[in-house]
This record gives sequence, structure tokens and C-alpha cells, in this order.
Amino acid sequence: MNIITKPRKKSTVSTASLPDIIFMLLIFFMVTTVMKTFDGLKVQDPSAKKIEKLENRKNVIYIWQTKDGSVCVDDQTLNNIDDISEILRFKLESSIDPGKMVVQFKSDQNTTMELIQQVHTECRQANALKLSYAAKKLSD
Amino acid sequence: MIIKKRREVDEINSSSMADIAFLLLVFFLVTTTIDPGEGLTMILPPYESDPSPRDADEIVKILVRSTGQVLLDGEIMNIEQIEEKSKNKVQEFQINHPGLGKDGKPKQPIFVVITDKKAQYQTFLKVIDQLKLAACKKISVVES
Repeated sequence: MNIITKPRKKSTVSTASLPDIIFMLLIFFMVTTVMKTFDGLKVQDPSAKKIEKLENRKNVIYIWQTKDGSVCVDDQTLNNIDDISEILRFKLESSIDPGKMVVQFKSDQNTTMELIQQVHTECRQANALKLSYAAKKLSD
Repeated sequence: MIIKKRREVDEINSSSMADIAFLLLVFFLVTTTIDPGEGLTMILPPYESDPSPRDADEIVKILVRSTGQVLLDGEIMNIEQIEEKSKNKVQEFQINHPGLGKDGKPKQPIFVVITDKKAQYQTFLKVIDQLKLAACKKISVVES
């Protein structure tokens, strides 16, 4: 009787579960990442029809203003409205392309124009002349 | 003697699945952009600029009162009417002032928005919105 020797099988580590591990990692990071965005002050956006989208987040400076007059630029809360121009000027100077910088202005729909005009003046003093009034889309 | 070899189950090679997953991951990482927001865009005049005197017929005044009442050239109207009215004003102006402006386009009247201190931002924005809908190029906001 012949002795039959079975050919030895090469042992390999199974990689079939590798994609599952990667997907798990992907999902884990997707769930746990919190992007560093400052939510700003609580304002009720006004509405408008002729809305334009801003292009690049890098070129946008955000200003929040509540109806009682507290102001916030990007992530700094200001005690005094007069400080806006100084901060804007600094931000424009430190940006790569000051000509492209847009100020996105978010204010409450019930803010009085007196406060809004103070911000206008501040923006002009800082030479931040591209202004975008944040508004939600109002369908026709 | 017949030796039955055990039949091996065919397997699909799944080692490249990991690469596909990585590729997807990289693709989404690169293509995701965060929405920077949207709004009405305006260009403000520089601070030092001296407002040059204008002819009275070049200017269309829009008053916004604290009550939310809006007046266009002294006429009380609904905010929704402004679009229509300002379109007429532009046409009227272009008939009276034929020829092209500095930018090579037909001349445009200046719409001056004057707001009461106690007027609401929403009302002001609605007025600006209407002017933008009417394709008015020259909008000026008066600072008190």
C-alpha cells in the first residue's frame, strides 16, 4: 500500500476581515470627529430671495450680532463694538489675499438698524468692504 | 485504490477590498467641503471716500420707518412693490440719461436706503433684496 502524503498547504493569514477593520475605523472617526466650528451667538437669521453662496471658507470672516448688541468676530466675543475694526484689520493683514476676504455678517432679524450701522462703519474703517448679509433662502 | 481528494471551496480573493475602502476614505476626505454660508452680498464704499455731490435726479430715495413702513420717492408702498417700481425707475432714468457710463453699460440711478434707527434689520434686508431682484447696481446705505 502506498503512503499518500498530502501536499502541505501554504499557511496564509486571512486578509478577508481587513476591510471590515478599516470600515470600522472609518465609521469610528466619522462619528467621533467634531469639527472646530464656533457656533457663534444665537441669532434668528432673516430671510431673502436673491441669495449668493460664498465660495471658500478660508476667505470668510464671520461676525455675529445679537439684537441686544453683543458682538462676536470669528471666535472672539467683544465687549465693545468699536473693537471690530481693529480685529478685522488684523485679520485682513494676516490673510493671504486681503482683496478676496468676505465678511459674513449674521445678525438677528429683529436687530435695530442703529446697531447694524455701527457694524457697517466698523467694516469700512477696517477696509473690509465685501459684506455678505447672512440670510436664509426664501422660496418664491 | 481511489483516493478522493477533498474538494476545496472556491474563495473570492478579498485582499483588495481593503484598498477599495482606503480609496473611498481618501476620496471623501478630499472632496468634502464645509458649507461657508450664504447671503446677500454688498460692496461697501471705503471709509475715507468723500461722497461726491450728485444730481437730485440721479438719486432714488427709499425710506424705512421704525414701524416697518417703506417709502420710495415719498410714496408709501408694500415692500414687494419695490422691485417693480425700481425697475421702472431704472428704465425711466435710462431714457432721460441716454449713453453709457464709465463701465460701458447703460447708466444706473443710485438707490439710497435711509433707515430709521429703530427700524428692523429684516425690513432693511427685504428692501435690499428687492433692489437686488430688480438688478439695481448702485445701492447706497445711509449711515446716521
